[in-house]
Amino acid sequence: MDILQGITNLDEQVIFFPVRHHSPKAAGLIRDLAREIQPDAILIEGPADYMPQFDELYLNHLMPIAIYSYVRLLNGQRLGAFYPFSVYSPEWQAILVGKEIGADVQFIDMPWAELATMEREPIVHRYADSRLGQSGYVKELCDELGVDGFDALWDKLFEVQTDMTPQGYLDRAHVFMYHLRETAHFIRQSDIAREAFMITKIRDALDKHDGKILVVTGGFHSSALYERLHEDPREDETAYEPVELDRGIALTPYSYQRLDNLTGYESGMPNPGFYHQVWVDAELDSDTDTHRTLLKQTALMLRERKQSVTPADLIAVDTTAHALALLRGHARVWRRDLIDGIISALVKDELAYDFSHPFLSAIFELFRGNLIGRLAEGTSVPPLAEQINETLKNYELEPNPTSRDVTLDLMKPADLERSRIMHQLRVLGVPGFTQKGRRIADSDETSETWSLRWLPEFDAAIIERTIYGATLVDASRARLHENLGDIQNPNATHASKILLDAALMGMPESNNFYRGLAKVIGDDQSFFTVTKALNTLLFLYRFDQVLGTSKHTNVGQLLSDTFTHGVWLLQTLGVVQDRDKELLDGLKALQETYERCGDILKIGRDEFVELFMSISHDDTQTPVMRGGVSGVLLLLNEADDEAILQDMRYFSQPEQLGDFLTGLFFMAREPIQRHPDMLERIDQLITGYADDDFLVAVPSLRLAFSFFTPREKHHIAHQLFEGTDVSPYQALQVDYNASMHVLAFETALFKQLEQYGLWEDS
Amino acid sequence: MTTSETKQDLQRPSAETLYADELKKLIEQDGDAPRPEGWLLTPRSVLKFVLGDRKLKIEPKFVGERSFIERCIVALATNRGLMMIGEPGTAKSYLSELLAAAISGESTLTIQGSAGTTEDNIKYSWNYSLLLAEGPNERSLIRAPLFTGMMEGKIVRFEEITRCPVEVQDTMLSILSDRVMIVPELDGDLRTLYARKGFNVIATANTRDRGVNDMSAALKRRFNFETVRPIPDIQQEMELVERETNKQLSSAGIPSTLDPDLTEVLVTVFHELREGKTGEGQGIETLSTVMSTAEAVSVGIAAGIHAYYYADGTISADHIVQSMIGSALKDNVEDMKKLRHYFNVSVKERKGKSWKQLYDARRHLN
Repeated sequence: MDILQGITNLDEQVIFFPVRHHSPKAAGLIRDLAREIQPDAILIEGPADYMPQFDELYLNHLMPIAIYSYVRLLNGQRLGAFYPFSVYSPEWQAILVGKEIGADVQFIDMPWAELATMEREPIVHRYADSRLGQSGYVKELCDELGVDGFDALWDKLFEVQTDMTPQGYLDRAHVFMYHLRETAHFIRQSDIAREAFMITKIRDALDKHDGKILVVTGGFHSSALYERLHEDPREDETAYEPVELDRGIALTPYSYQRLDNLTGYESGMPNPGFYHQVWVDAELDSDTDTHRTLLKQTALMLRERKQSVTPADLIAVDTTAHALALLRGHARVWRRDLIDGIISALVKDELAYDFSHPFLSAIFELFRGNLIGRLAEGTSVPPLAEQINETLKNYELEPNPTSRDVTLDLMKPADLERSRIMHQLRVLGVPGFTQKGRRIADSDETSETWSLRWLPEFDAAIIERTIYGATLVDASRARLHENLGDIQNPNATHASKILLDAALMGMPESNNFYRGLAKVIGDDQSFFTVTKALNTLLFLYRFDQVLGTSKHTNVGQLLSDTFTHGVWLLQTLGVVQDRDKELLDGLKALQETYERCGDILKIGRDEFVELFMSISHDDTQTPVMRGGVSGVLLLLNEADDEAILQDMRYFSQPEQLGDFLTGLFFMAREPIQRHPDMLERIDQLITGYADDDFLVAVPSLRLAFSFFTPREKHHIAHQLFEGTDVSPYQALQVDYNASMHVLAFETALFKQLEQYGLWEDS
Repeated sequence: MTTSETKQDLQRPSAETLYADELKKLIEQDGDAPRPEGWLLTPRSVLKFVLGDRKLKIEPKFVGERSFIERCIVALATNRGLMMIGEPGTAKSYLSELLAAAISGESTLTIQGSAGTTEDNIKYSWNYSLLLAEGPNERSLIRAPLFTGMMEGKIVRFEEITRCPVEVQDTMLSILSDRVMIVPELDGDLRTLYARKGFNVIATANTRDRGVNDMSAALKRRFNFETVRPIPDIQQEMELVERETNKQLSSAGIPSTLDPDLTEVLVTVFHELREGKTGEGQGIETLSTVMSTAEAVSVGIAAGIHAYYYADGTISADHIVQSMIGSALKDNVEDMKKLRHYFNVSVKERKGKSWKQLYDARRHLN
């Protein structure tokens, strides 16, 4: 194969260095090779549109960091992609060594915006291994070398090797990658376009430099680029013309946790914490002991978690891991060897499918690593991040690593302003701002308490949310609108929450926004969620004192529409079982809306009353519903006392009476107290029960009466006993001797029970 | 008596007899490559023996993750025993047989754990006539598997160890840690039996029976534990079931075979009832019966025998359902109900001839 001869020849002017992203082996060897051959230019697979800010990469960042590129497509879709760098990334080491040897360092990959328009399901993690590991070649090689899967294969071929030279790496990696490419099921259109883009950059560099050029790309592209370079330019190698799109690019802090959480197509090399340790040890020239360091840390972690790990156990793990390494032909104890050593020697239980076990979770945590990056001072950040930081400073809301509480009195304009900022951050999904206690829509309160704390994710979030807009107001609103668009199954409650969010954020919204909400609510066919939404809308329209939505035309319109929809849903609701509380809440929401805002509703009194009348005559309905409906009619002053008494008689069976009364009392707690005849009738019904029937009725009756306050219960009791000699609260007339007698008897009784072990004095 | 005759006459030859040729090939290939002392093969060859090797034409015998087998082999090379735990029917015993055959060339030093297992069955007992006549000596002592294994430096298999009372299990304690067995009745050198290199123990325990007898922490410490899992990949399970069923049918002299279509139906049913989830992601109730791969094979064989003797020899879905009721469900009424539900909910909707036939055979479930 000519390609493989040429591509591994270090005498060529352009040297292709194929990498697996995040491979410490490749990272170290790139550095060695660059120092050895001193290329004029180093070209790296990274977003070309980052070049204007390139020098910022050399600031004193705490790794890992990522280049974040975002775009808003013409269809309104917002997409962001990451190019993450850890200290052991080949690309990162290439960047560093380039500066060290004074080479011209360039990113040569096609910008994300163009890629995003090209790929159907764009891969957001640009240094993922999606193309590797799928070919039959890998499967064959795994069988041949006796390893499970691509990661183990790569480890065996490259990472474990102790004395690999750059030439040795190139020879092996090019053969490996070439065959991967040749046996790939298909090659994406976007990959071909990227290669066309990259080759033009390589040709540009050739025009500029006479010396060597080192090209660092994912191994999948190397042979294709080499082929293109040695041919005449193909048709697709045209000059780059950026697509006109709203886009941006910036550095953002990254973390090993994020790197490790990626799965499927997005996944790269697993276990960043492990490879980090490998890199650190290699830098210190103590690379044979990596597994000991990690085992020691695991043991410490486990002991901290009160898991017992004895020295004998550790010896067993160490021995087993060594033996496994030997069996697998690893020159040193590697990733899987250590994990398997722990599984084998420490775990004494049945292992679940997902390998969840306290011992293993410690090692997995360690292998994941906990490094969180930070950008150096002076790194330029997108306008949104800058504006958020400035706003927080101006309003004295800056989060600190230690948590603090801020209480805002929304009646004060300055505090209201601050509350809006808090809600904007919350909706935008910036971590570290949480509301404590009750929210104003759920209570009469006019103040809010927020807990503020700086979290490591904060810095990354304010940079990455730039995708939604350049200012906090714009971005949070865009996010809110996205939330509205994201509602999959029409749910009125969600829609009303979005409206509440908008109000809390202090956002005057367009008619379009209200139309969107109205559509979601109108499409929701559940009586329960629609009436729940009604509660929120009623609060905003009628009771809100601080958000400025009171008597707002659009909110009123929405309230009226939702009410109409709710009434219609009630008409068609039919018999509902087992959702009594929700049902009554729904009825109450309708009744309250009607009572408070009847003037703006499209449904008139007659229509509203008629609906409830018809339900109250429906013999198939449940006692709770009938009770609730009677209550509503009572509140509307439309109830015929006689009809309610009839209903009560109709539901006088012990298992039904309580349910009926629950509905009635929940709705009409207050008016019922002004109807002594009704109380009397209830009293008659209950006193008419035989003892057994009474016991059946008691539980639901208790629930029914629980809606009254203690004072109201007192009042009811008085009413019932009026005109009799008995008082409900008569003091007991017991004489001193009798009570002494009873006390003595009780004491003796309990003593005897205790003697037989039937009673224990607590 | 030649090996081939032995193989044919025996109902179930041991692994070392059945695969004698493969073992020979591996021994030759190993030459004098280093290996743990007392081992017949190098660890890598043991791996090849279990998982198969195309180049050497070694048949794959066990379906499982390579790293799992690697861990098992390595455990036996260290000074701890190997404990395999898992659901019934996950081929724990079979794997232990294969490992013993490959490492010691002998898989028959087996202790079968049960409530009635005593120390005598494990260590040694006496020929009482000889004991009375000659007193305790080498002649009157009857060696149990553990004794032989220690003496000859071989792998001893202890099946279903948790079925034994804890006191009996603990017999193993001093032997696993000190690698020595004391025979107090004998004098002089015979009193202490030091284990020869190559000796180790593979124990198996069933996770469904864990409640029968637990294991002492002291004994646990002397074993490396490995969980044997059902085959997760349905494709691999199908291949295995088809291969095993047809192999066993042909060795029983029955020409009927399980075709791929029917295998797919059989294995899918077992797989889904085991996982409690259909391929379409719908939840179903799992049966109380163990729906293991081994059970699937035995259903396949029963169906084959049925078809051969009572029908035209072609295995149909009808035979599968009937065999499933007999050999898998063991007439459990609750399971029967669940199976009926599974047929009505999932099987009914499936496309394909075999699935339709299976659904038509549901009348046997009533």
